[in-house]
Amino acid sequence: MDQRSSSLADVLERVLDKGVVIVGDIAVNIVDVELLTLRLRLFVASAQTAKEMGMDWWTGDPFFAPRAAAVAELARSNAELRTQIAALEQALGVQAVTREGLL
Amino acid sequence: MKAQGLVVYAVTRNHELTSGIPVRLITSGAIAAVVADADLEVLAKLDVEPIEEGPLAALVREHDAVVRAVAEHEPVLPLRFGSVVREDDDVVRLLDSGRDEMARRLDEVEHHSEWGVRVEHVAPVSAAPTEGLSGTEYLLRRKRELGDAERERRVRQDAVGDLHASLGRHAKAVTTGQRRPQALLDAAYLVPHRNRAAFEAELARLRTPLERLGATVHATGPWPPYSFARIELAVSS
Repeated sequence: MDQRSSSLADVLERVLDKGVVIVGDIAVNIVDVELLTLRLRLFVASAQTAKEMGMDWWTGDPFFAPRAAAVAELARSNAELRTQIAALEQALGVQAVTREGLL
Repeated sequence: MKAQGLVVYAVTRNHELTSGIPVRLITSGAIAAVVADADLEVLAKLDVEPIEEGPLAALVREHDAVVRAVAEHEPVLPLRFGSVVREDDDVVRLLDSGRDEMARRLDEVEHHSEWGVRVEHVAPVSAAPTEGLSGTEYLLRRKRELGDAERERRVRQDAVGDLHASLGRHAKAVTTGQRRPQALLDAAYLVPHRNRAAFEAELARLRTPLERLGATVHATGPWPPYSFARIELAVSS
């Protein structure tokens, strides 16, 4: 069992949603305390922890993203083509200068 | 004048606190609330981002630390983070409102700790190239892939069922939730201290086959019984 100190996400999950709850007007009605809890909730859901919290599930789901691998391949071949075009342009540029020189 | 309030961390038995944490007890009969005086303006002005090393994270960790410190000696029912009331009398009324239920729940969680187990599975992305496939070939392959995935899903589901049932046998109480779409299991177990070794051994034994099936097993604990203290105290002043 993991005996390291718990991650913030783990602690948040326990202290925010669980435990004894005070309802009614005895609870100090500071909007900001509510806001604070809300912020912490947002933190749990933020992009930083989304992966750990499993909220980016669709990105790896083959049904929703069957072409994820194809998209990566497309990006790779795009980059390759761009490099080739740059090389060709450079070669053409050299040729143009050469041609001017010939004229 | 500063607006003072009381942060309420937990409910426990009316025994003197032996730990050196800067909190005090407000008692009512056999039960007591663990509280600390707080400057409400400081709480209200905490508009920093809840990042790992920030003030909010520190408060959250402090809450957990206080609850844990009390739990070392006495049974404890943690309050939700951010529970604040105005004055001592409010706390007494709070305790009075649910005294019997809280005393009973304290008996239930005594000598128990909570363990959290979350099993998740993220389906891998198909790595095979699609170039050169006809439409029919592509669809046939997708069908095959989805069929394989469905079979694997059932095997994983069985393994999760095994894990949950086996862990449950070492626990006095179990709660499950499924707030994350890909979570195959998100459970909390209330484990008697005497069963801790058996629980951990079972977990170690059964997580391996699941991990071999591509699932991740996220286990945390021991915790104070956060998931087993769901009580609503409704009090009007």
